[in-house]
Amino acid sequence: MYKTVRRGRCRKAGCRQITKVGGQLLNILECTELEKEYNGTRVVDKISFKMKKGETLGLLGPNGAGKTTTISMLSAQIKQTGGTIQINGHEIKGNELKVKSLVGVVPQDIALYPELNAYENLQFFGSLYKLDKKQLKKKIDRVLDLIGLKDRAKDPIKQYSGGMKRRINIAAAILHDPLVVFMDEPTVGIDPQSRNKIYELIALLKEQGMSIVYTTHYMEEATNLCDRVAIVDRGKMIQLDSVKGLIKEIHGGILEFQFRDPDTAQSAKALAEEYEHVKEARVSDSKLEAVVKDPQENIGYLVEQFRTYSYEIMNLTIMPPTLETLFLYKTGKALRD
Amino acid sequence: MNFLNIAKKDIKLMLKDPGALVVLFLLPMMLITIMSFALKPVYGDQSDAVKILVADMDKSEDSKRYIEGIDEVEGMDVDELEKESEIEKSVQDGENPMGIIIPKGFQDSLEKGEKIDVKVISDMAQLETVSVLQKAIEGVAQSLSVNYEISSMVDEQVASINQTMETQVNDITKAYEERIASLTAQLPQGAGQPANQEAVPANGDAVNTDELKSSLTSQAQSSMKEPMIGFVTASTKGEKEPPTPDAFQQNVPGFTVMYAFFIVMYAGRSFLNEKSSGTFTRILNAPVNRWTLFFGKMLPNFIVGIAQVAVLFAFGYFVFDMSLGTSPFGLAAISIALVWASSCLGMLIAALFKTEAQVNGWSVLIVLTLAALGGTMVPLFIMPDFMKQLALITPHAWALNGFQDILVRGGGLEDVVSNIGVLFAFGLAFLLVSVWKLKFD
Repeated sequence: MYKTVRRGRCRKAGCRQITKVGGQLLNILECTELEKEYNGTRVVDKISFKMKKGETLGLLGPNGAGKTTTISMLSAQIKQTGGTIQINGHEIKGNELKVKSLVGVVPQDIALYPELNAYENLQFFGSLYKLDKKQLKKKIDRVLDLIGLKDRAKDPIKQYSGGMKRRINIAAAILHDPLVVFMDEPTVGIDPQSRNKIYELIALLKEQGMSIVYTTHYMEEATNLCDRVAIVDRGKMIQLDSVKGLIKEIHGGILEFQFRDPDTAQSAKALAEEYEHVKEARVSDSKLEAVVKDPQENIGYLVEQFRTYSYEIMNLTIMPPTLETLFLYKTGKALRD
Repeated sequence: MNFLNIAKKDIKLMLKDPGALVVLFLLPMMLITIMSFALKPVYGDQSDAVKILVADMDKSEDSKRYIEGIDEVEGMDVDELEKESEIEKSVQDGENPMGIIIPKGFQDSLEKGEKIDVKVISDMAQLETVSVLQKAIEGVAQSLSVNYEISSMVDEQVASINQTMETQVNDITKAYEERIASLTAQLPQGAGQPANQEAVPANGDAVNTDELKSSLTSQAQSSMKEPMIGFVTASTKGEKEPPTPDAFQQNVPGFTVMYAFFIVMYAGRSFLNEKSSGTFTRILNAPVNRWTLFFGKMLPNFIVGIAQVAVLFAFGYFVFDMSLGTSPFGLAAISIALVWASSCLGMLIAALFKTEAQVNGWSVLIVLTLAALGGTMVPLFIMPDFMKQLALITPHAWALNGFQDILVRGGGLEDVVSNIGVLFAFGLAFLLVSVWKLKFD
């Protein structure tokens, strides 16, 4: 299941799918300068990226960053105001139904019918992809097995726990073997144990070569599940790299000094920038943030320098090199703001 | 055929909602039953005639004839009791509105042409019914006394004719005998004697008075029952007034039409639930276009509506023996047109209202107002003219009239073409506005 398609026929009858050109893997998803405006307000602003087959790409950003709008455009659910999107070489514009058959969407809400049982829910959503009865039954059995709910298949969804509902929510999106799955914060509002089960499921799907676009505001999810992470804020993609690459950006970490007033902070910044292990420094109000190679080792030197010049330090924080620190550094706000 | 999959799913959901089944099927059945029995007299149903208690103290031929006469009156049913006290008690308890006691000597008095009083015991709490019943029994009494009056009139007339005839015959006989005697005197002896002289009847007894009396009496009675001058009620168009429905012919189609429109509430809620739970978006994430979803959501309303009409008419037919008319095609066509209009109104409700409270409140208001105005609660034929005209702005009135054209007036498909056309036009108008107003996002 979910084996990497190489050359030849795609899963849809009559659709030839070229996955390699000259030995190079084609991008399964490609978007350029993607824009979306609502009543004159730009909610997605020139987002561009490419994604390879089998890759898991995370969109990391706070609520309202434009993550859901981005995946709604990528999955042909809403029309973009500007830019282009290609899924497996198909331009979305004018091919919406075709593209929809190639992708799967796990919505943020549990979009299931509580009165119907798991099997009936999967049967209905599967039937929309024009799978014949026999084929559909096989796929439902396989997916129920994969998510570990085969024995509860005949129970109405309303009797399920939040975590179980989330798993069925994912199952309904992968039933038709999509080339790309868009998962919109699939672990929102569930307990850690259920969340771990979903991580296991996603790891399993990754192993099987499924391409996944995963939106989240949980740093640990982005760190553990994604091959690359795009930091998104206010509709803009601020940075896109592997987790390692992103963390490299903030060197060994960030030292945050709180001074009495902004003037002192500015003077301290000039002093810090002269130090060879400080990669960059910036001031906001009376706070100085310095990206430092090895914060633990270099903190003593910087504190001593500031004392020499009588720059009184009110507070000092050492921020470790994490995505959260990077996000805070890049956007000036925490992920859960 | 994704719209079939969507429709199938919606029907499955509805079947799992016992509340929907109760409102769409069970509730109209109960109302049909209760309202039809309660309103039987309003629709002129004669199966439950008013009972008149009678105590016959005379036990004569004429008293029996009088009781039979009352029993023959439409809407009246005689229940004979032995004692006057039993009648008094029953009327006093309000069990019966009226009782009569035929006294001893009833027949003798009639024969003698003497006045005789029949005692009437009535419940004044049921004054309206009592006054109608009293008029009826007075009519029967008059009819009976006419026999005797005519009989005595005929006797008098025949006696007078007999007397006149006897006088005249005697005069002629006398004149004839005198003439014969005079002529005989002028002839020689032995001549002029009649060979066979037959005796002339003395009193001219050729008139059969009994036959004449019987013939005159029956003629008078028949003219009382069926007067030569009759009345035919006609409409302004000069056509005979159409027959009015009985309680079941009014209530079965009436409540069917009314409850067929209750589907709008479920259509609206179903749309809202899909939107709020995200399943609407999820369906649109699949290779399903918006119109497939739209018609997929509309089709179950149509299917459930057809099932509803079929079940309620079958209920009327099998349980209450209601006539379905003679045109199954006409009945099917008007049913389809009705369900089309209600399904389209459902889509309009789904398109216009954004919260469950709005859908519930407006659906009930719209459905019940249209139902009342359209004659499904109060029959159109008892409404004043301006209300009858006003009813025509509702699809309910067109559907109900169509059903009654077939059930009551024995019409066929050709008689309900205009009703079908109007219902389809209503549906189309609802559909166009819903397509214009519906937001899929």
